[in-house]
Amino acid sequence: MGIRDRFRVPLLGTLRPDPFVKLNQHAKMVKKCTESMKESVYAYFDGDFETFNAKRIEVKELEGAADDLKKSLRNHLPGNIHMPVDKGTFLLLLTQQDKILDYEEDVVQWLSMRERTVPQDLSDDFKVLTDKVVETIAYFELAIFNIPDVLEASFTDDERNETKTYIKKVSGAEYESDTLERALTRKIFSLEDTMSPIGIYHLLRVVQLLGEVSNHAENASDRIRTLLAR
Amino acid sequence: MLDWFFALSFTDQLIIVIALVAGFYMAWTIGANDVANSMGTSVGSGALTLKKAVIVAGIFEFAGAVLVGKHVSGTIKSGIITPELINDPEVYALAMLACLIAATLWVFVATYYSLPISTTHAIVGAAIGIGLFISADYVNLSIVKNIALSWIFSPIAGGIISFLFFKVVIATVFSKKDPVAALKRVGPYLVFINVFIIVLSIFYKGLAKLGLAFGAQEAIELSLLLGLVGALVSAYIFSTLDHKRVRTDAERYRQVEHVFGYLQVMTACSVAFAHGANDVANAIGPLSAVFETMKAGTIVATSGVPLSILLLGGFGIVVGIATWGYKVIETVGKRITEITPSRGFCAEIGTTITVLVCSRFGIPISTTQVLIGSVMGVGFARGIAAIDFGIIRRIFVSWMLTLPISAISSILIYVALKGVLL
Repeated sequence: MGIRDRFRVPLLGTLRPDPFVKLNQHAKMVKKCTESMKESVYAYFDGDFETFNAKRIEVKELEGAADDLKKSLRNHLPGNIHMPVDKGTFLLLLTQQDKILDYEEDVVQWLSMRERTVPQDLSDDFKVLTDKVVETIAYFELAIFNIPDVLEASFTDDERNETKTYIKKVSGAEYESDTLERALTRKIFSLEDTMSPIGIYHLLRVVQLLGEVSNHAENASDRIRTLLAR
Repeated sequence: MLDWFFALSFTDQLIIVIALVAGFYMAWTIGANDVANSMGTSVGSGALTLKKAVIVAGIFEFAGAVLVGKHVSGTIKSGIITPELINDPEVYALAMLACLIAATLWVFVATYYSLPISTTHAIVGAAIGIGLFISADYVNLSIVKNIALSWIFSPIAGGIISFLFFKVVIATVFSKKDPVAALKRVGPYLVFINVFIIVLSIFYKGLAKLGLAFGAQEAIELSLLLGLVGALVSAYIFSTLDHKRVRTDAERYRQVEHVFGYLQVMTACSVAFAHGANDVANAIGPLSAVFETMKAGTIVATSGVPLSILLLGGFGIVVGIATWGYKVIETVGKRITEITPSRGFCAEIGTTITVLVCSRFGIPISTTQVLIGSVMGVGFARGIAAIDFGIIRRIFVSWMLTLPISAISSILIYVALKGVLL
């Protein structure tokens, strides 16, 4: 403590760093990680395992960095901090947002357990499903990146409604993703005579894990809805 | 001019000199430390440069101290303890000197350890302690009770006013389709309110020495007039601010904050003014008691404060700002980035109103703690991302420390001074 710190300004101890800044940084990591996951999955189904693994490592590292950020955010929100939103809901949103990353890592790690080329037809379907999952997250990002505006305007109806429109789009995309998952699952089962049971099991689980990513994007956006309620 | 001083005994001269040094140090530390409360956020948000902040803070602290400072000074001097009852000029002068030294020492220690204490609480605690020690009869309990209540209610009042102002800002600015244009329309009304309050605090039954003491009606008329002038000037300034059309909400809100930056300069100056008006008393209340008593050789039964002492207090604060306060403003400004100009404006106008009303009623309060209450008010209106309510406990602890420590040390110093000097 230098001589410059010898003063009494309790206002400094009254104001804490804005937790939404870190939440936003975490969301930016989700955005980056989602791009890497998409490229990784595309490379896998193109049979380019080298690119796949390079991107898989990127996903793994982003997930780890985001985890650290999550922990530091949780540690800096002790009991007597007052926020303009419910702190419990804020932390639940953070948890769900972090789960998006967890499942994105699961998708690429699970894929890496068995590196085999997949029939062209199925590969295309997987890319379509991946695109839809990425779309769900893109809408979620619109919602989460609008929160600073909501805070600045202090919860005006206009800003809350804008966020809610994005949340509705997340639900819409998640529903479409569900439909694609079921169709793809059916298609994989229909190939039981031509594919190995292990291959079928591997791909079925990929479908499930991709589905989890969009499920958690929807869960996280539902938390935003609760967060913004009056 | 100073003939009376040289006619005094050496002891009495010494008492005056010590009181001058301690009083000046107190004024210095009030300027050096507390000015960051009013200017820190404006410098932090970039609304003012450090240099400009130091200049305007100096001007407004000085003006507040000289123009409105006498009311609270009177309370410190002869409200908490009743000098006429003591009847012994030297006892009274020594008691006030002990009070000043005790508060000064505790403020010095607390500043070193960054404890959230208030100079006001130190001086009031010291005065109560010394009064009780000499004789409990000398302490005016109803005034002490009012002061104690005001310490609890002034931060709450600041909080409620700031809460309401922020709600008004949301409804009249942020909820509008074009918030920048809305603020340029609403802004002059806000300026009007602020100027009205400041002018009223100066002129209503004030400035008798300059022959400018107005009655209620005249003071209100003058305040309305100058408030109107302020509103027109601000309307003109806002009309010169050119804001190009922007696409995103974020950019639009940045423009709103830019306009609020101008309003926050006004409220920061107002807080400096109110702070000078209330806190200068902590330095010059006891000083003027010593000074006048020694000069007259008898206890002077007035609650007034000589203009020369007010000027000295104001000067001490300005020196504090210029020699040390700028560093504190700079450090605080760098660390406070969580308060945007719109929030700072609301917190500061609530603080100004509360502190000036208390100042006019002669109630010594802590400007710092009113500001914290006001910031919390904005927080309750969902305006601030994270507020640490632990500060309430820390402030409470600092009250519990300050009152007994300053009371007991003022008694000890009084006994020591009496032994050495009388």
